[in-house]
Amino acid sequence: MTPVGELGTFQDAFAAALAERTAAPIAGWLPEGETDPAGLAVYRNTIAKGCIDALAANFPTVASLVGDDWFGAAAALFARGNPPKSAALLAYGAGFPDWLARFPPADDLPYLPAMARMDGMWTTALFAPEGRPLAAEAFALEPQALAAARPRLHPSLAFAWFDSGLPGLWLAAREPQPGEMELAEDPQGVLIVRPHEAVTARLLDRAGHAFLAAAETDATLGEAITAAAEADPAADLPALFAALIADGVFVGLDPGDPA
Amino acid sequence: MTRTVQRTPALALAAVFALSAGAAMARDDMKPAKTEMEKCYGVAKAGQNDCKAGAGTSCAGTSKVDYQADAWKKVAKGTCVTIKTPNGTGSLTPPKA
Repeated sequence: MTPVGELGTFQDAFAAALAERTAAPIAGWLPEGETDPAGLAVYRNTIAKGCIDALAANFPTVASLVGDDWFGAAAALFARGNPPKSAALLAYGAGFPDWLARFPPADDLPYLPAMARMDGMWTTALFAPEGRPLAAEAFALEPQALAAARPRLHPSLAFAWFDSGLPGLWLAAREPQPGEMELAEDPQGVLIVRPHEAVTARLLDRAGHAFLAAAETDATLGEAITAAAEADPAADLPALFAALIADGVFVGLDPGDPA
Repeated sequence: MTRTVQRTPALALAAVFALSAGAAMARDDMKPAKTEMEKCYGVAKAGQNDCKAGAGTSCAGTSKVDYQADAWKKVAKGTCVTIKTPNGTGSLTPPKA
């Protein structure tokens, strides 16, 4: 019977032999004359493949933009320096967008880190807790009561603002046949949410972003829509609010003090 | 600060109106669409990250694959041919040094 302590010691040494790419840590367990068993490469490659596949699954837009070869090689480098911290790889690669931003071969692809960031938002929304969006009828309140109410946002909701057209590029790149794409100079926002079974993503304008940014900090609907009006005085506010309701962004409405 | 104070009453009124109008608009918009939308839920588009058992669940045989190849030194070549950027077309084909 192998004492647990010894097994644990061996497992740590084995993991080190894989990570350090040398059999030295497990030298004491190897048969005489064996210094570098070829089988270790199988373990290393299986781990590498698991990480690369996970990154490709979690960052599909990045992978489609750079191609499998480039992506696989970059992902392998990332995985070596940033091994998974959890056995489940569902959310693996949280540091990948920032890593790409510092990855010299990606210098020619300045939009790539943002693509990775939005892919990450998408994956996070996919695995976020369930939430039941409010039906439009829930907003049929007296105008003053509606303005005083504080919305509760969907747990899967993610949104971000970019100082160029990166969200539009990301959405276009996710089309089945992207073809020619354009990175617009105008700032854009993105809204990602999973109201039911499927994640949805769309562009967010300045007013919409201001609304959500305010709502996120516990503002009333009146304060949020006012923030939207201030961000873009020309915004179509009723359409903005109706669209967010239809997106399923709101899961609750806490009555406020209408005074 | 004076500006904010002056603008607040008018804005607040407009905000109250906008919310009620928006809520009404949403009620009109959502009724006919609802049934059809629900049908679409759960249908995943291939090639995107919603059609998987979960990242990292693959366990294909891999012993011969060389993941240390320096393919990132090559030009990235994805499904898209060109991306027009404010600095010109073709960011996927970096200028020859």
